[in-house]
Amino acid sequence: MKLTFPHMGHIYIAAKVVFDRLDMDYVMPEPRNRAALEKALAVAPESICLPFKTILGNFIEGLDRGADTIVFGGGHGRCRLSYFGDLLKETLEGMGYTFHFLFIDFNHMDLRQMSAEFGPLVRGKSSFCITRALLEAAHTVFSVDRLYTKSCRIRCRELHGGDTDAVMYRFERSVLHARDAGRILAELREAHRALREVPLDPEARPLRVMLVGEIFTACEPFVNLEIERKLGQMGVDVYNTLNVSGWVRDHFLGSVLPFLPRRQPKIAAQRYTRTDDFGGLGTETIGNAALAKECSMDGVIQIYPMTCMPEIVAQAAMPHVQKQEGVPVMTLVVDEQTGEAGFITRLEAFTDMLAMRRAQSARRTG
Amino acid sequence: MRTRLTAEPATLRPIPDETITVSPVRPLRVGIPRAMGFYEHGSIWARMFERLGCKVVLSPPTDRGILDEGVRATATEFCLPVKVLAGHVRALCKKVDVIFIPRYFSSAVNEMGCPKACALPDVVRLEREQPVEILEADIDPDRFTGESQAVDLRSIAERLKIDGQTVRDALLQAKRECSPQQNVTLPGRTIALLGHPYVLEDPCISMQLAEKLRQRGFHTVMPRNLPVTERRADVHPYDGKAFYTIGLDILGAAHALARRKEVRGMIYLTPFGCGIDALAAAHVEQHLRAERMPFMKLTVDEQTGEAGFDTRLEAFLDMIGE
Repeated sequence: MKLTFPHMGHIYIAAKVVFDRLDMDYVMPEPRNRAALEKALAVAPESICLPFKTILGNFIEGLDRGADTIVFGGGHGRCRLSYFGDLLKETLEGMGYTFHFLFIDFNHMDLRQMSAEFGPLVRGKSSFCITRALLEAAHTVFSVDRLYTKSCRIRCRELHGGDTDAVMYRFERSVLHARDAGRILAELREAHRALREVPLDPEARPLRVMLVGEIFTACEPFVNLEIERKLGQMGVDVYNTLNVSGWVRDHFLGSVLPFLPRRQPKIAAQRYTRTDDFGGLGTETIGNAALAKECSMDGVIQIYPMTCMPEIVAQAAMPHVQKQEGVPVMTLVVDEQTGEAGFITRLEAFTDMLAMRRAQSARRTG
Repeated sequence: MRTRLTAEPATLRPIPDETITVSPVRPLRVGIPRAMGFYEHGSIWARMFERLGCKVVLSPPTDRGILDEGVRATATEFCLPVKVLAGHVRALCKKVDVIFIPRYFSSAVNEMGCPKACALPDVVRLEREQPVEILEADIDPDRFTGESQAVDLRSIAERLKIDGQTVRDALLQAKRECSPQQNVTLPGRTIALLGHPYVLEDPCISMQLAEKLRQRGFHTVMPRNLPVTERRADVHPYDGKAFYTIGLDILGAAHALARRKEVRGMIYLTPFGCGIDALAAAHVEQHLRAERMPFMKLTVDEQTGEAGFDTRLEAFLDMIGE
């Protein structure tokens, strides 16, 4: 059995840790592979969202490179991502691939069924070994997200342009080539250390921009055209409200520990909508944008893939958020035809506007 | 300057519990827009409000003017039916006291509503410049257990100042009175029309597709014409799994109708950008390819020209070869 799995943000690092630790045979699709996406575009329904198309591209690449088992998850929700599994399977079968489809239902985590499905993959491994691998993976998910969050703080404040990116590129390259879990964990520690040593500009007062929207798009640099890095290079401190570890925390720990406090964004969203869930993370998008001023953000960028249903509803609230909270909001809709130059122009125009706004209010307050 | 005495806003007298029909000073005028859920459940809601003593005002059938108004009022990314709803709300808001827009979270257990349908009252509230009172009711059998509890009628009861049981009785009675007419006999050559009821049955969005087919001598059948049991008999690959209600309706109908020999072809009418149709149409297309059933997907938005639409329809009918 040879596994393959889709990319979503930096989750591949944790997946690599598990698979390497348990000696599983797997094919990792290359991150940011445009050629694989083009293959998916030829067979995907045209008005489905970009996450579906990139995931399909990952699977096509994985199967082409010899994988025979696909790992994918879903459940029941109002976002289409929950239902991608069946269409992905049907589309790939229609293309003539034969494979085994390992599906994890996030809404009905049946441990017995999961151990029946995944058992053959880890045969011969002690339960201690499996537990250790899973714990290491969980640690990696959180640690990697902390690393990327930290890189956003540092990139906009660095003294010599490009220092942060050099650390991050080096980390990503070495993770891609590492063939053992210990190496990855060591690289992770090393990257954390290297980031701490980047010399910072003490005078820097970067603009603060909050990133809200659809989680796959906000996490996956290939889909969001590396918006964090691009804004950081323009000297903007990006606060991405969406990452995999947050999703793990809310989705898994939230369902296990129901006494966790109801999250603030959901409450803030009630100013604009009278329901606390209309699908996906739509209410969180509205709520985070509504809280942006209180978090002393200069602006908010909402990013989502074309035809994303919950985010369109959230977008309808944005003009009101802008007016009532007094924080500028820009909505970016991406699909496979988004041109990079036009995208950069919009980011530049928005940050210029934010800088002028800040200068103006500084003059006003003296 | 002459000062005009403003009339007190219409208030409802408290109603004795034993009566179902309410006789207020001036009946509350409830507007029901002829869009979105109207085509499936509009008559039930209208009957319910009438039973409760309200005056029900329906918006006129969609025309180009309503559509243009809606397009102006709504964020660009929304699909055409939501834009049309905004047009209907605008057409109604001067004539009524409240506009009723239900929130369809789900229509049956494990069946989802579209995110936009879950947030319709919010969307309408957000896009209006001047405030218009929106009356909403949550429909969610997934959360509220039990058939009669599936609809949260509290806000209606509060607004009408009557108790919840009265509203519930009126709804149940209205439901009984408006049982849908389901016709499963297909007389002669038929084209199956797939899509949302609010797309297929809206005269403006559908460009009168059914009427045009009738003129060419074809009968039409829509998912809603089939009984629910037939629509759910075979919904591969979602048998026993959660999915969108409308997606299940369309998939089930496509599977059931593909077996009928009277059905000569299927046309899937979808508004541009519909998220559910993107999934459902892909499944339908794969299934019909295996069945060798002629199939065409027509996408419409506010800029669709009727001439191009007709040309594609004619080409499809020529291909069927009748």
